[in-house]
Amino acid sequence: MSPDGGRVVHGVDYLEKKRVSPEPSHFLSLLHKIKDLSFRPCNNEYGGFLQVSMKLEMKDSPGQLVAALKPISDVGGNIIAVIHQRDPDPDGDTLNVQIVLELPKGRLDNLIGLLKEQGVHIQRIGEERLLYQRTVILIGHLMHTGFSDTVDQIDSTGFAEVTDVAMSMPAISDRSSSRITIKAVSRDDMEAALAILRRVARQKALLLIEPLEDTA
Amino acid sequence: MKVALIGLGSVGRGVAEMLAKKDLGLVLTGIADSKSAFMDPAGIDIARVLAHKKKNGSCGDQNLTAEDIIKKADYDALIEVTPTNALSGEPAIGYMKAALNRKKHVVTSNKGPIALAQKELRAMARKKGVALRYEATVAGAIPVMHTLEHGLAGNEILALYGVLNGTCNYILTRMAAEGLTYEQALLEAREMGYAEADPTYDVQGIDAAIKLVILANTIWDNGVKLGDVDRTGIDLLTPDALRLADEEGCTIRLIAEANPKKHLLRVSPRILDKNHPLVFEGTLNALTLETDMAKEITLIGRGAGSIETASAIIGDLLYIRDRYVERA
Ligand SMILES: NC(=O)c1ccc[n+]([C@@H]2O[C@H](COP(=O)([O-])OP(=O)(O)OC[C@H]3O[C@@H](n4cnc5c(N)ncnc54)[C@H](OP(=O)(O)O)[C@@H]3O)[C@@H](O)[C@H]2O)c1
Repeated sequence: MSPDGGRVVHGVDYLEKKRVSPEPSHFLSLLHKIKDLSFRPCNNEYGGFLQVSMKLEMKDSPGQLVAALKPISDVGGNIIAVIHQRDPDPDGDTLNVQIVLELPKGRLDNLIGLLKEQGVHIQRIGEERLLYQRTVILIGHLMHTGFSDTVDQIDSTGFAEVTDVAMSMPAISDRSSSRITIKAVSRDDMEAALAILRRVARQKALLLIEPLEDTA
Repeated sequence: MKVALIGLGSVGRGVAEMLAKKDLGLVLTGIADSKSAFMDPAGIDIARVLAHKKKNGSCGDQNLTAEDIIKKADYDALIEVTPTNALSGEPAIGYMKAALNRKKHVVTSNKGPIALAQKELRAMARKKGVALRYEATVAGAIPVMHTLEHGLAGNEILALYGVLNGTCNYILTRMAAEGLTYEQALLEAREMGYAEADPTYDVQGIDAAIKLVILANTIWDNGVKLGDVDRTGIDLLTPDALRLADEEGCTIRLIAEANPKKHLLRVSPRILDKNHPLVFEGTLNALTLETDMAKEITLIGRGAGSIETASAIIGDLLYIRDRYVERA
């Protein structure tokens, strides 16, 4: 991620200096970046933090953005990224920004209240506690071998969760296939979760198909 | 430069045809199959030998053997293209040693000896001052070894991963495209001539694992063996699994990967985004090399075939000619 062209920037000062109106196609690629950002590696103290993405609408007047974002530091949060887009509508008196931030757990309501006081309209808000996502496929006698136990082995870790399951079961005696989405807080946690799944798959004679990651 | 050819099957025939067709300055002075052999220091009439082989099933004199050619014929480089024996590597290892002992260069497409005895054979070649080249053993026509040796010279290879078995890639392509079962897709691959009567080597990932071992030893000289490869084949995949991947914009491919820092040496079916460079249809092969300077390089091309494999062998022969023989 680079601050090139002021599209994705760190910090408010920089933001105020560089205002750009990306084209719609640009904006899509920016959204894409934000998605990547939410999977960035994070440190251990992350456990106490919550990562949130918000889409904000505010009046487009000088200093407004800085004022609007001030409550974030007031509640002890950090801005991870700001995507800045001038309102495409002709009057152009509102400003839309998408921000990704992290803040201590339990402070979100506080922040929402403070933002409202600043006259900022929150269009959308998404909580993202679990930052890493991997999808794997399991093939075998999934039901006979206790599928809920397989899922439990991940869920009970506390650092990773099975968030989505798609299952296909042909005849009762045939092997079934399932697609499992796992989320974890950090890359190491994801690795640990996958290691558990590998062990369970071996014990239950299931075929585990993992995604190919760039290895180096 | 004079060459002798041991093995006149798919690959051997391709090499012989290209030697006859192209003016490469390579003269064939000895030839052998499993039952017969023939030599002529002035140069063999390749068209005649191929016609004879086609008609009678043998290429020459039943009283002569491959060993006679290797030990007695007048040649600079031996082309060893007999069947792969992954367990013993024989008789090819013996053939190669006999040639190296005579200070003859060796070029091969035979994976067995290079997976089993690469270190020993390389040391022997070095001692005798000749070349041992095996471009054709990995990924057919794709110049993997030349790329590593020359194009990426000076780079540290950090990891590699690729599609090294065209039969599996074909089966997976057909399962994904048509919702075929593994058995149906295998049957089709056989009818197309892409799979052997006994497909075990291909579908259980053994062939890909052998190529991975050859690559790892060539790049890192780490002495890994076939048994060190963590290997899962494609024979237990279900059409449902491919459909579940497809719903997410992904598909499944048999991937061979090595990463020495992570102690990773693995052949397994993997989920890949459909836009991933290693996702392509049919029997092609591909290899991605991750290096310190060049970063990622992906090579893609034909992994097998008579003329395609001959291409890799001829590349090795001409390299030897330019590097050793013409100079002498
Ligand atoms: N086909 C490919 O696309 C491809 C690609 C890469 C690497 N390779 C490797 O290249 C090698 C040759 O493959 P291929 O497809 O050409 O095999 P092939 O069609 O089975 O031909 C093998 C040839 O070797 C001869 N042969 C067998 N045993 C022999 C012995 N003890 N001494 C002398 N000759 C002997 C056979 O003689 P007869 O004719 O008398 O039976 C035949 O001519 C194999 O190691 C294979 O793994 C093949």
